[in-house]
Amino acid sequence: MQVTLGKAGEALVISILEPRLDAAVAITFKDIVRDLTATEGSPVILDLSKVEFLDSSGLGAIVAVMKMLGPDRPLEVAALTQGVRKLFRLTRMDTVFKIHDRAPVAEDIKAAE
Amino acid sequence: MNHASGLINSLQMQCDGELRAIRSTVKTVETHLSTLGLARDVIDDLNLALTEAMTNIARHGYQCERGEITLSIRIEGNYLKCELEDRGVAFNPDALGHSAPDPSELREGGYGWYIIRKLSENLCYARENGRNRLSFWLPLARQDDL
Repeated sequence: MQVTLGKAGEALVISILEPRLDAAVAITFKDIVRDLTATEGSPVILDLSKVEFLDSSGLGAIVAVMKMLGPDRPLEVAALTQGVRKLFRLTRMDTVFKIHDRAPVAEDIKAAE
Repeated sequence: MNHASGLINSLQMQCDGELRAIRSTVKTVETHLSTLGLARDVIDDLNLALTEAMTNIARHGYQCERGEITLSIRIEGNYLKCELEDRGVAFNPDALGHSAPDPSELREGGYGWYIIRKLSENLCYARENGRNRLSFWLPLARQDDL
């Protein structure tokens, strides 16, 4: 799974460059995001603009990351494609996550694989 | 590994009950239905319902052991009719997924059957001769906006 890491103001922006965030990659996704957010502090925005498909396992992994970051470190999602937005709506997770219409313009830090 | 044999409005496939194979099977179904000119949102619904159902079979039916899933999809009237068969352990979804998990509980799982039910109609399950048979219909045009 490929991701890029950027910084937009205080926030860490993690862009997921994977068309399907599903059961096959859910654990890898959690591991990568845990490693990238190991340093304390900044809020985290997941840029999902390249994710065309999300299933309940992928959603569960995003929820797991939110819980891992803890209550003082918000996890927000950005740039949901049509199908991904629908899953957030169906499961009412759109009431839990702050959703940005667009990914913030981020300064690249590094790319991870 | 998967194998597809398709008529114009009916598609049969065999797929290993394993997550990567499920991915490529769903991709093949998606491509096939795109060439039939089905609407994007119908294909998205099928993609999601099939992925949820087949992932359940791999995880709970075959419990991550090897096994095969047989998939059949046909267009009939205003519906895509889907049927899945496997030889995994019996599961009965009748009691599952009738309501959405409370979002404030931040559950990491337990959404699968709710999603399948929400997208489909006529969800049926039967256990026959050591096989699970799951079928559901997806509307080709929605009246409501899910």
